[in-house]
Amino acid sequence: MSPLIVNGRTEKEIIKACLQGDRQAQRDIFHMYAGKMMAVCLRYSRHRLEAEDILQDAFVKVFTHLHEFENFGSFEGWVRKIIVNTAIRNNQKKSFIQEEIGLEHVKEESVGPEVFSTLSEEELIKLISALPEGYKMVFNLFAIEGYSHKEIGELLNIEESTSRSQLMKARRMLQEKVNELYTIAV
Amino acid sequence: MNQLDKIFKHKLEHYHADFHDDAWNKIEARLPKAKKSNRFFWPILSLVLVLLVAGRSAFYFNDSEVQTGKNNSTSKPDILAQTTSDNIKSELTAQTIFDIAHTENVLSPQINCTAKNGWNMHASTKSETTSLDIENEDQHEHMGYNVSLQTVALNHRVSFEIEAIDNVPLNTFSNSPSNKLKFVTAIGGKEPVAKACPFVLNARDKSMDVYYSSDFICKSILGPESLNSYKGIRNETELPMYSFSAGFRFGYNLSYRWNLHTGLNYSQINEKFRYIDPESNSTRVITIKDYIYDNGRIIDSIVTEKTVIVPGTTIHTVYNKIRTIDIPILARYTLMANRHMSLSAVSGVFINVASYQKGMILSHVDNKPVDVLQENTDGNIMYKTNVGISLYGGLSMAYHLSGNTDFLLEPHYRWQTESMTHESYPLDQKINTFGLTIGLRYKF
Repeated sequence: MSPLIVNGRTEKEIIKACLQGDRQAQRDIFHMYAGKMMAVCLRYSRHRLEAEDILQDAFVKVFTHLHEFENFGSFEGWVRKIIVNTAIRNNQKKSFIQEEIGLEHVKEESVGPEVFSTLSEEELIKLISALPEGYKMVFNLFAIEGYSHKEIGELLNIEESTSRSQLMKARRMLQEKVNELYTIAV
Repeated sequence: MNQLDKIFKHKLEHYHADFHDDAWNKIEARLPKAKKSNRFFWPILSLVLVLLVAGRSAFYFNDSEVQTGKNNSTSKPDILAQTTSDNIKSELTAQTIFDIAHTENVLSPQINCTAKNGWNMHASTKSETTSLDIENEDQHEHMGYNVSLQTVALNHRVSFEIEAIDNVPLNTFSNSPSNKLKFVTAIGGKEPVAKACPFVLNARDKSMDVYYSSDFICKSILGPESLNSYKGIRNETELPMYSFSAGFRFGYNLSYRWNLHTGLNYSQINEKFRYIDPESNSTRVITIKDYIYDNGRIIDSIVTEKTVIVPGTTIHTVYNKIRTIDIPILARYTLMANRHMSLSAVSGVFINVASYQKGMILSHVDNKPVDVLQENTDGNIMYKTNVGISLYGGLSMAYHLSGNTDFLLEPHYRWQTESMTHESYPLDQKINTFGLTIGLRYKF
């Protein structure tokens, strides 16, 4: 949870100062949310460097579009939305190389989902990052951000049925990865 | 949402990851430059200049502050210089009042002096050296003072010395411990004081000013609260730059202190519009050449063009200009004047003749950059072509360079009475200016 007061100022006061170009306030906002948003970026990217780029691009947008933020909403939610949109856009830029993965080789589930609870956050992020781009996007948006398939379809410019299908495939692939880990561990 | 989704959501939704220490520096480098606190630079500079000049003026005026009494001549004498005591300046005039009556012969003035403790001095200096009568309110005494009078006809200065004899102290007249006081003063209306001084009769009554002003912009954008964010982004994207005014004005001396000025003024307000569009697309045309082979040899080629949209960031930098031509109608009231300079208050109106704008701003419809000359739905452009009347106020200091030429220094404020924007535009915009004018005044 972000602190309500940073350097003697509330979030609202800091945002107001940011709008007036106060550099210290902008730095405070960045440090308030950078850790949490970096975790979001890592889930949408293939590696840390790409996540860093998304984080920077997104925060530049946050500060240049701050005047568009309506104060009655959650500021963190607004920032998170920009992070996700930036990540999607970043993915679309490089998506001329589409990755298609067949599912013929995917094994049936052999370990229960509770195994995922034993994994650390870093390990879970690595699992997501290793997914093909399309699966990764849909899984992140649906499972963690809470978007519906309809919203995902509009965001990614795909059919709802494609979103459902890719979610299913993502889950299976994650299961397969865990099975591999479990097998090695055993 | 199945069990697997819930586990991921639960563990990752509020997870914090480490980020690179340098991340903020990289972001900061890409942000628009933070506003520097130079907002008060020009007002402070101008205030300092005004205080300096006012202080200097006060020094001059206080230095020559001598009351004049009865006058038996048609021309009132100007008492311009001060007293020295054995060539050391003393502050006599604060307590000692001189009345040098101007006679037909400027070389033989009468000198009356009221000393600080009620003593009066009368000296009729028919000759170069004369005795001095000293009396107080209760008794009349002749005391042992010698007055020697020297006149310098060239510039009508008179100097006289009071020398104590018989050990009579001179502190009757001053705090100086010296027993010999030397007074230097000047009399006569023929002293070559600057003609702009309104206290000199026969001053020239017409003048012509040519001036240039460095202007500091005080921009005001007003409108409904619902447009606060739009106002904010306009203020962020439109940065004030060096602005100026220039022009000329004729002056006419209406009366002893009042002058009227009118002429033509050109003002140019400069701003820098800088906007970073983070989600702009650029269109690229790619030429593709396909070769047709036959047995390993190229026999033909097909050239096709493909248009692709490349997402990216566009930085718009445009130098906005707002130009106005006005007719100033100003009244000037002289507050103080001496032979070196004068200080006046100036106020009046600037009647706009024409106004022209060029550049870009963000649209209130979609926050995208638009040309200021782009027509609104009602067919009007955003800015008016005539911005009406501005109010003008300032302090004008004229330093007399010669008998008919003054150097002008005039800090001023100009306030627009009406909005520059049409009614169809949702915000009212005024650009008021604080400026410092320098110029030359020629009197004829």
